[in-house]
Amino acid sequence: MSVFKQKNKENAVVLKEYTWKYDFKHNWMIYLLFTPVLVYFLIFHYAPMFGLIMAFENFKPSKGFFGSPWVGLANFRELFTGDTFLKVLRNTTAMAVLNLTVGFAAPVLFALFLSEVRLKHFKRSVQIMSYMPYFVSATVVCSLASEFLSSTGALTMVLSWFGFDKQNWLANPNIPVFWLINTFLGVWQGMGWGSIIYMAAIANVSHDLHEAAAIDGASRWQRMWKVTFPTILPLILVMFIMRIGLVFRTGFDKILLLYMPMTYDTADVLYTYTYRMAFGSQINYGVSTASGLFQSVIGTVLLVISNKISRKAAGSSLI
Amino acid sequence: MKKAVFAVLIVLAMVCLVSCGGSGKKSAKDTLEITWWIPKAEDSTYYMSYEENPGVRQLETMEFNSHKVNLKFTVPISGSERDNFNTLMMTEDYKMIFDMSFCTSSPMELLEDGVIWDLTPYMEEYMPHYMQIIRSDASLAPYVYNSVDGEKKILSLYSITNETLGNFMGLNYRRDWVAKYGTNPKTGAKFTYGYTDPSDYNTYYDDVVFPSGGNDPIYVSDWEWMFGIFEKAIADLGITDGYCISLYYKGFSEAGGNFDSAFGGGTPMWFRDKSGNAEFGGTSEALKTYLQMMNSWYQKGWLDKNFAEHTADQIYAIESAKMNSGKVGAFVGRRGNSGGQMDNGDKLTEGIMVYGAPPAINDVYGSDAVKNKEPYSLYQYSHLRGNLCISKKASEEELKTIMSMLDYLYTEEGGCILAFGLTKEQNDILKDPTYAKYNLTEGAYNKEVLADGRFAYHRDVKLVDDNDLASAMAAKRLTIGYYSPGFVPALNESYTKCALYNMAQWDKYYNTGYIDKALQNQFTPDEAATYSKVYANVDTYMAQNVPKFITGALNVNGADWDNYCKMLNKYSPDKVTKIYQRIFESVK
Repeated sequence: MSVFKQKNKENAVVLKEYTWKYDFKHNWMIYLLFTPVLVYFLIFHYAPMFGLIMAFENFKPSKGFFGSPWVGLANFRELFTGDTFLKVLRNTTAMAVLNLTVGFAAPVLFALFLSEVRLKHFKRSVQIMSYMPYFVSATVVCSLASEFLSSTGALTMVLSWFGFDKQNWLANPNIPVFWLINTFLGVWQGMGWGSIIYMAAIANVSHDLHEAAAIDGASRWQRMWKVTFPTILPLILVMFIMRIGLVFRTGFDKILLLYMPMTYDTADVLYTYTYRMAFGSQINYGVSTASGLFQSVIGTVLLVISNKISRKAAGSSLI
Repeated sequence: MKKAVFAVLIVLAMVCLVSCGGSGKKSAKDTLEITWWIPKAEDSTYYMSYEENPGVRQLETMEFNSHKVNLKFTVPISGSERDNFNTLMMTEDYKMIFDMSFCTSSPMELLEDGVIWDLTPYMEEYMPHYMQIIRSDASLAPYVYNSVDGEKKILSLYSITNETLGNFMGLNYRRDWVAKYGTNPKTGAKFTYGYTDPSDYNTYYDDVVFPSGGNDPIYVSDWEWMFGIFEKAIADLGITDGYCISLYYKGFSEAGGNFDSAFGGGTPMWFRDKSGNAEFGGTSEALKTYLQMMNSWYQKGWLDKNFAEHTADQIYAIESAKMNSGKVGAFVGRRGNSGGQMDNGDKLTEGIMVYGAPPAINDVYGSDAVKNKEPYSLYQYSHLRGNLCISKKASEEELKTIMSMLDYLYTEEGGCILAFGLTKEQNDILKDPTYAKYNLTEGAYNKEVLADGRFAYHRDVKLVDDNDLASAMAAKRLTIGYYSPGFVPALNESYTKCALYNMAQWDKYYNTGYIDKALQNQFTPDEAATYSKVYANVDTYMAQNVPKFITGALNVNGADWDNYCKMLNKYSPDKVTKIYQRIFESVK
């Protein structure tokens, strides 16, 4: 039972039960301010979850949620028993792991190194330039990638100096070509933007710590790894946990725009596979929702596990 | 006492209001408000809402089943048609009439769910013109009838055209290259070519003769002869990134008519054979031979080496930048590529002359079984142009009025409103403001009675020159009604002489095998689910492997082909073949 200290009329401190009524009465303004947020989440984030029922139905818009026939796990069976499902799952996992490692580490390292730059104008210019790709639409990013990676593209030319064949890299079906392209496109687009939060955290690291380390003879490199990095580590962990929950959801639009039948073997992921299965000829809402639910469940499980590991290992966690 | 009187008066007033409100659909005794969902309206340049369309306004002046009508349209935002339609369905806010283009359920499912009317009992009395049209053309039967519990039913109404509208795309080739770099295959003499009027590319002439003896490429051997000429042209012009012919990224065209139908007429997917039966061509001898030919072309360097990478390109605009800059000898193109329209005045396009070619006939590859067979035209419009259903939002009495109104659109006069717009006489009475705005005081068209009693239609020159304006002045977005004989030639007046010539080439053979997507309206719910799954698997597998046979990554003459057939058959394409066959037989 929660208790709190309260002074009675005689100014004596007594212990009282801490009820929600008491809290509401004393903090009603905070509750009031929170109400729009709560309503927003209920309407736009929780109410739509009811749509997940479609994963267990042969959903027809004309019959609605309650009139569509209940099919149990049939949509999941259809999803999991597809001939290419395992290949698709492998590609999804591989790209997710690359995004989670390379894709996650890039903004952290970028922020750490950029924070050490002393030339203000240079630092700001680099920062602004690094944010810019984030505001470019996926379509434009993919068009640029297609140009640069075509058989006569600039990047292909650069790679040919290192002994690689001149080829359209996006049409290369070998592992891990498409995986790497997808990862580095994500890094190029999101690294600058993702580093903002780390830059802000680094800016708040106490100068006293740096000064003390410097007096003790620590070099800049050592201060970066021994002072700055440990200070922002809790934030990094929280961001990592949040990223894990969404790991299967990133980059679908880019993959859909870049892949082609020749590269399905290595580029097809759960989203694109489901997209073709569900929206190829006749719309199958059931399979599409089942796939979305499957990915959400996996994401949630990963999130909970990583949260626990983080709490145990670093004493810091999201939930 | 006063309070009680006041209360009674209030109640009476409310009753009056409610009873008045109850007749909301009929704003006057004889005017019925009809709600109608259409997927697309006209640009706001012409008018703000489709209620202002001149054809719609004309319909509202008329009486149907002793009622006038007031049409109210619901038009989704471009790009959200399906979402909008589904939302209306899920919230049961669907309209009295709705276009089926974005409906994910078949008419049979909608009937089962109690959403739409079974129109069969009312057809003879209220839609006699529609019935007369569908009875006059037996080929329409598989589409316009639904088989429900063994009975032929009419659940939706189709827009029908008497003549095919003419293909908008087909095989094109650089006639100027053939004339300039080729020689007569029999005499070896150079061809002559030029223009009778250099300022008009439509006056182009030449004396090109193909190996088969005619002036157009008919056979595969003609094309291969032509590719030899294209090689010379590409080398002479110093084109380093050009090629003789482009190819759709899957390596085949689902609709048939590209080179893939040169080996017996079928398509690599599902098609209707000459005897009217459903067939699947994905494992056929015809496809195998086609792939042998394509592999040969690929090895000889005639084919675009990177064809499988152009997945974002439409079949009629493969590598359009390269095509438009004059670096490609042959390609699937549109009417807009015809003649000298691609002349940009630069070195590679100056004097360009693009001719259309009929679908090729194989005379080179494979056994006699796949030689000298009449091919199908590429895609080719069918006689059907969309369909609609009437929902239970309309009462039975309202249904009769709606059907009478729709039936009018299947008369010659009603069809003219859809296809062309208003006559001078109609507009003189209606005094349509949009017609006044665009100075169409003489109406959109006039009609000439020919010696044989038929009609010839002549559109106002402003409409011939401006397709968008022409569409806005007619009621084309209703996608219903009948295009009578004579409509298509009048609509074709918009095209140049070269484009008309090309269209004639593309439509040289009728595409008897093309299964119009409209047939999917006949699927039962189980069939729709089966089709969806099988199609997705077959399409993906073929798109992955057919290009490999063409490039030689898989050997079409070896065990790879057998493995491909075995794997493809695992996806049970025969299930879809059986579905189509059932439909063809159910409505015979």
